[in-house]
Amino acid sequence: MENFLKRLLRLVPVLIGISLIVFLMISLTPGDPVQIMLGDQFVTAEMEQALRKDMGLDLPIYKRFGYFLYNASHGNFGRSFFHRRPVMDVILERLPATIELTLCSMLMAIFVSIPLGVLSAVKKGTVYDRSSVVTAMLGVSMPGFWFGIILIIIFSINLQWLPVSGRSTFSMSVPSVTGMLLIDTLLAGEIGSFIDAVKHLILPTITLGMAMGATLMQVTRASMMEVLRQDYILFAEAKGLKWFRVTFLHALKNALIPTITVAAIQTGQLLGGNMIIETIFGWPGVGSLVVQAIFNRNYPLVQAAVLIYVLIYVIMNFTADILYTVLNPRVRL
Amino acid sequence: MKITNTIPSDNISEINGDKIDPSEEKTVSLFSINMNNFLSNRLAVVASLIVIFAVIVSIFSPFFAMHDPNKTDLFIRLQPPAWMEGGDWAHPLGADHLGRDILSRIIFGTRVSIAVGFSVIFIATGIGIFTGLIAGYLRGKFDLVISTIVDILLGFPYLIFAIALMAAMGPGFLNIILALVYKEWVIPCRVVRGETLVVKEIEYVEAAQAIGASKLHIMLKEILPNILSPVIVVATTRMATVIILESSLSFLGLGIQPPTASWGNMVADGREFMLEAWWVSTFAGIAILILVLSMNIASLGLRDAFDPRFSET
Amino acid sequence: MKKEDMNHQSPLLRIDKLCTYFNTHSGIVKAVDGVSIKLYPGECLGVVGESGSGKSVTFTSVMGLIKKPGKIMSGTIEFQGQDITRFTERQYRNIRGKKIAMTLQDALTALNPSIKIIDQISEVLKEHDNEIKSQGRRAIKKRAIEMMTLVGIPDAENRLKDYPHQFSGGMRQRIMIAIALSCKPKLLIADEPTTALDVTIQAQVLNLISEIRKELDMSVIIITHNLGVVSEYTDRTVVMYAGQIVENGLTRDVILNPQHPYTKGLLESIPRLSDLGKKIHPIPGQVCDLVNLPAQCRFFSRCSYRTEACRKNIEIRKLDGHGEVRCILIDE
Repeated sequence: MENFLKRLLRLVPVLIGISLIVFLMISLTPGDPVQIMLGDQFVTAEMEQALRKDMGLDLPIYKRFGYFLYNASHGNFGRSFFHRRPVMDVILERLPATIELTLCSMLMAIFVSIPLGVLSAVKKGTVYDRSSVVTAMLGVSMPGFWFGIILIIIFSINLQWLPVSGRSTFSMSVPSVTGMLLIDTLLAGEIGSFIDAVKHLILPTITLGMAMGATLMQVTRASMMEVLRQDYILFAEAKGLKWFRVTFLHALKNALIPTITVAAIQTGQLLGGNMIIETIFGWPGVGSLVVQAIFNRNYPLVQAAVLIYVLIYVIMNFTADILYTVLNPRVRL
Repeated sequence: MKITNTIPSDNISEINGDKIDPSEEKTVSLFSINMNNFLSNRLAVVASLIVIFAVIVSIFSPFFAMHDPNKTDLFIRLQPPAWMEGGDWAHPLGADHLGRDILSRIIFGTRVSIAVGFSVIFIATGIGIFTGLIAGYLRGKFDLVISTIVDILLGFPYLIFAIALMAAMGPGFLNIILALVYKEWVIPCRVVRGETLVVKEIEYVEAAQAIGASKLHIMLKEILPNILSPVIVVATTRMATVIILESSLSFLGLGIQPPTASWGNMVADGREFMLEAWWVSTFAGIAILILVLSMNIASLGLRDAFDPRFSET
Repeated sequence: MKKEDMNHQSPLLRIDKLCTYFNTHSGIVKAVDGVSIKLYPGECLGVVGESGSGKSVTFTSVMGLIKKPGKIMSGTIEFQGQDITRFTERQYRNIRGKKIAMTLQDALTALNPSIKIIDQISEVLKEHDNEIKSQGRRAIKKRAIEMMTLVGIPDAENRLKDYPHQFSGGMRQRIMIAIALSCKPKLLIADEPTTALDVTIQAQVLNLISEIRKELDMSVIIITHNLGVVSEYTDRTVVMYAGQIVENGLTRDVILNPQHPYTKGLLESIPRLSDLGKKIHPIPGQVCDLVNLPAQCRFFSRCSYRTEACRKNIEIRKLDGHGEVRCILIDE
């Protein structure tokens, strides 16, 4: 237990450091935030000064950082320049879409790649194995944004099987309960809308899940191969146990340890890929929001989004660390 | 796997698997590249040749390209590739929305990718080796500071960090390199630090200390040559990632700006025309794929050549 | 077991001219090249040899656990009268753990680090012993405790839920033996049972094996490079070198009156207190390359008795009494 707390404690300087960097990055951007926010509106010098004061821009930088941390921990990131609403609200609105996409991609990556990796390791050296390895290499070497576009060109434009972009067809909207279309449509009993939502999800999920899946497959394969060489596998076979038990209980249990930790880290990285994929597919999530915000110079939003992304990433890495110790009895006890 | 000594171990599991005789496990990764091993891996050789070819193309782009990449000709706007109807062998891969020859732009785009890839890796690896050696060998306060910085930087998902930096600094060639280096150096630093920690316990380092060699001498002459092989392997793998990153940034419009041709912004350009002119995006992406794939395969081959123990084939 | 009795029984295990080769990148390694062994019920056989002699591979072949790039090329293995080289994987699984059990050298790596001991014991029972399986978890647990106690693990009941790394080296070896014996096999193959252990623990483990052997009327094969172990615990001994058997006989004959130069060399190389002050006599040279085998006696390059007549393939010959030797220099 104290191990856990120690690790948690070590996160603190990291989090502060990250917040500092994010804060500095935004503060040091060229351009006067007040000017940007006001845009073309005409204001008097006093109003401008009042606004500046209101935004705390007249304070020395360390005080600003302090306020920043204080506000941030309360979820207050100021108002979005573009939307004229609190940043947090805007982000929360778009969050479910991102979560839905990320979750689906993760699940797809895990449930496709891990079995493929296991099979590949078991059938090492065969045609099956070689083709899996090649596919994984391709998956890792392909730029996500290009892959998404190719998928759209093939499946949406040429074959017209799937929609080009967006999350759902307007006419099929349903009342929002969780914000996640897959659940909401089922709750509303609208099968047509459910299928529509699924169709919209397919291509982005495949694109986003591809890179993660490819890496996960490679890791599973390598880790499984390493495990299968171990003496305890030989001993298990010498006991006359069935192949299934040897492979999936004895071997996989040990092979999964590094695999799961990598999966946790990769999930954090999915967030980075999120922005691009969401932009390509017109997915109304936080990712595309951030990209827009960058171009609109909507700094409070960019700041908030970056901080949140980073927080999730750090938490995922931390989880990976903990998972590793929990899953490995040798380390745990 | 190459076995030079054919005395098989009697141990069952060592024969059934491809474990190596335990006494070999104790050797440290020495900087000895087994050229024969590398050359026998035909795939890796082909991949390396492709990379070398790309470097040549990037240097001698004007000789390879048939047209000026920035020359616009609205008459041939969105002309399809040569083998399709309406195509023309003067523009083998077609033309983009401003009538610029796609093939020439791809050739010049090689410059961007190779230049960014090599510079970032070169600088980042340099910084990484320097900081890693200090952290690993001198330990103490140095290690604490460096490791904390590394942890903090590692706490950022790569793309977000780069995007945020580019948003802050503005686009441009130098800025991209800077933005990518900022985070990239931690990776070689971690590798170097880890290897240094291992290597410094080896006897010949102790021996050098015993005869009074200076810390700097030890770091440079004893430790460094022996940790180079994993560093090189990591560097080549990372180069592939950096190239994808640069193209992602350019795709978003945060990297190399048009009209300069970068594979990333070419794909972005073509997005608008997905419906009628798929070739504008597609070929640039294929170029990225080929180069990155070759780098990945070559670096795998390198890794096997340095240390056949880890061969999976 | 008197030696006269042994001749009238049929062997439990009969290996006949077994050849197991490995197809590696450097060529074909003839790990086991024409090995024939007979083992009778209740007997304890010692198999002695250095690394590379083929001793482990021979018995891995018996278990049917040779994997690529290795393969049993020719020869037969008869167990309880059946030729098991013809067995399907399913038939093999019926024997493994149930009729023939095997333990490995290093118990730390042989036990799965992520699975509790109780599960590693009970899975063998569940697989092979239908009767106890039908009696339910409690019966299985009871048997597991019995086995653990039998091999001398203190406080067995509480330790069932522990993981392998929570036990000491000697205890792990015992647990491995407990697992191997839980279905009361007819044959136990112990591969280097003492090599990874301290000297004091070695004796404990070997005594344990001896006791259980008598109780269960089991045959045991002890694979080792340690002649001391062999001399004290085995009835008969087989000496292997470079994939072949070079000497075979009653243990006391082999130890007290070794025939083959290799066996002699092995015995001579053991330092004895009575030889204080004298030079140690190791066997010079190294094992020959098993890929490019010369057509001659495989011990040729290291043999101090070699002659030109040895430059041909040497067959194994029966000796007076019950032994065999592969050397043309030994008189009948």
